[in-house]
Amino acid sequence: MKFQDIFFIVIFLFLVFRRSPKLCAAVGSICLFVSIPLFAFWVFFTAQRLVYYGGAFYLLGTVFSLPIFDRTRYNKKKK
Amino acid sequence: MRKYRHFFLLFILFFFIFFIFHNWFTLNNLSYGDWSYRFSESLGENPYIPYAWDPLFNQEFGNNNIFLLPLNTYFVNTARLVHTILGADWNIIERLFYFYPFLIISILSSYFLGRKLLNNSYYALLSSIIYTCNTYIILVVSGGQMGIGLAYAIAPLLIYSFRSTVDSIIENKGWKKNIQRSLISGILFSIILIFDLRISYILTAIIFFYCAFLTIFYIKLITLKRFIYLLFLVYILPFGVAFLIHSFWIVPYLIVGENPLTELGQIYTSIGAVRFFSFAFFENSLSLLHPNYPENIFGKVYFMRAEFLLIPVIAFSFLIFSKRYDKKILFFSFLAIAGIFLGKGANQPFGEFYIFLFSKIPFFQMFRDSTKWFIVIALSYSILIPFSLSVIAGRYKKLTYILSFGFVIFWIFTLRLVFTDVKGTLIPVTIPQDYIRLKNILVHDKKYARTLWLPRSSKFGYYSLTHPKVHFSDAFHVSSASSVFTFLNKEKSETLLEEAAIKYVIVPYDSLGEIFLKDRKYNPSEFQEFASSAARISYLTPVSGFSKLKVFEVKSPRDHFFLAGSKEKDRVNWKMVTPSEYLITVNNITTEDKLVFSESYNKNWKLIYNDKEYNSFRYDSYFNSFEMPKKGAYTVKVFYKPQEFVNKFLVISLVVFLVNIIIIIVFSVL
Repeated sequence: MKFQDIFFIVIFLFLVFRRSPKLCAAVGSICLFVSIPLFAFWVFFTAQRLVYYGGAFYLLGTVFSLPIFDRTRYNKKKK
Repeated sequence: MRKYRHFFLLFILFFFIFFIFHNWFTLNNLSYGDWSYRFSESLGENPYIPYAWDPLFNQEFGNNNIFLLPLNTYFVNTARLVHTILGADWNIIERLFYFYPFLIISILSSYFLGRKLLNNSYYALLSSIIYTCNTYIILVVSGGQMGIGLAYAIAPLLIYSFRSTVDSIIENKGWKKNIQRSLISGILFSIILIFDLRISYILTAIIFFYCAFLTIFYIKLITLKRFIYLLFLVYILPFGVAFLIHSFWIVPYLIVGENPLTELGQIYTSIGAVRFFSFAFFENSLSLLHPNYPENIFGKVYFMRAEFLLIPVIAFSFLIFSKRYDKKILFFSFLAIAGIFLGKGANQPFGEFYIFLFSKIPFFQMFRDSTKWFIVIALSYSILIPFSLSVIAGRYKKLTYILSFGFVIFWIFTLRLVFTDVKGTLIPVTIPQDYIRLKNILVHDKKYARTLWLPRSSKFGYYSLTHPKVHFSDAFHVSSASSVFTFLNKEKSETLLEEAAIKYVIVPYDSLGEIFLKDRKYNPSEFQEFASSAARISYLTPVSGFSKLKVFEVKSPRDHFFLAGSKEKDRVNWKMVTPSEYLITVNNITTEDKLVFSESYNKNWKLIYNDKEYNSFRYDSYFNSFEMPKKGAYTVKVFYKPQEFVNKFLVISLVVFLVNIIIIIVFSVL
């Protein structure tokens, strides 16, 4: 397991704790933005890894956007 | 400004259509990949009734084509009908029944689905642009896979129809409306089933989960009685109707029990084949970027084009900018992720899961090429991208026009190579004169005879029921020049070719550069090797009059039916009723005589005399043979047994189809 995989797992667990679809999607988008120059400069291994992570964060974000997670979301703003 | 933005997007849509597909709006020849050219002289031969045995299947010696019966029937009947009634050539027929319907239906169906889900006709136009003009579908249709193209085009309409059925039931719009919608869904699914089984399989799964998803969210509005009613109208009735309409091939297929994928060999069914054909990586499927873009050369995968990674960023940005998540759109987010995961096939991450699905899930063997799942991604992104743009525009109203215009510019940028590098059916092709000369020779020769192509035919190789073509590589499973000529130089090869009714052996002129390849480039020395080796075969006589095509004649080809061990030609006369049925008149027959029928051996071929059936025995490893029932002169029928079931169930299929159409019309009037 590489250092970036450990970093990914830590962030993944943090996002699971937060249960915020916005944060998950934002982190996923950041992964893809960072991978763009890496693909352009042929740094393929890291770029591919970032794309995997991005996909995983998008999946997490989609899951947490389900209504069932509304009540259990961490730090939900109270009206 | 608001009212002109629709015109802008319409202009962009038509810009894409005319610049990408402009060749389709001429009468130039179209031929590439899976799309062969058909000479007009061969269009009027085929019978209208679907036939379970196809003498032209896979360019061997014929085979059971029950699982392709709907598409073949559509192909043959549209061509014959239009050619016979209007005298139209293939160039017009293919445009009227394949290319134009793809464009029109794809644009309209994605627009209607987009408008239903997004409640906005402006963003629905964006849906049409994304769905009709993306790298996946452009490469599919430019590669000649028009069956997939048509199924792809109708897919959004099918989703729309099922969604309307669920809405109609939930909103209690009356039983007539509900049944009408359900039947329309069934008819639409039947139409998709004609064109591609794999897309139908994918859509079945999508519909199942989509309707279940909708039902869960409406669950508070549904009583048990209504739930059962919904189950019936959404799942049982439409799929039941589709099954009955297609019973003319489904039932014979189940009865015959021959898995066509197994017949085609390990290249279609092995795990190794799945790994090999998993050309798309995760980044390709995430970005809806076809792995062979732009040149569409089989097996040639390109480096990732980084700009395409903005596509998923845009598609999933609604998760960031939405205040509340629309449940009906959320389904497409899950769908996109499922499509992205499956679209990469056996590649990482978790590629072994795809292998598991391929090995264990029924009919998943149809997906050795995982890019078929890209339709799921295209469907999803055609909804998610416009939705995300509308959400962002809703929050930042000043960015409304900048966002959509900016997206259009970005989309044009991603497709820029389509205008320069994508070829296939998007550019015209010229038919070499040698192929026209060959066609003229074959058309004037009314006697049945096959042509054998080394190693396989060009797209312009003429073929018909009177002159089927055989690819050496498919019939005899060897393709290299040395292997081919080792085979042809064997002692019994001349006899084999004669018994296969092969009159001409041809080394094709590879004008499209797709047969004689080295490192995916045309290799003229391979053509020379085939041509010179064929010229050295003693029993082949060169036929003059061709400049680039190398044509050789076999001395004494046998007829389609002949008596084993006998060279007398007038003892057997035959007539084709359909490709599944022949009438043979025999004279001076003895009980030692054996009737040989040079189609691929299949145990379901029967000789029928006085209502008694006689089995076929394998002859010379490849063909069928029958022992004669008695001495003398009489007429027998040779019949492909599964055709009986096709004929019987065809009546059921037609009746069910007509009844459905009548009910739909009556319920819309009443």
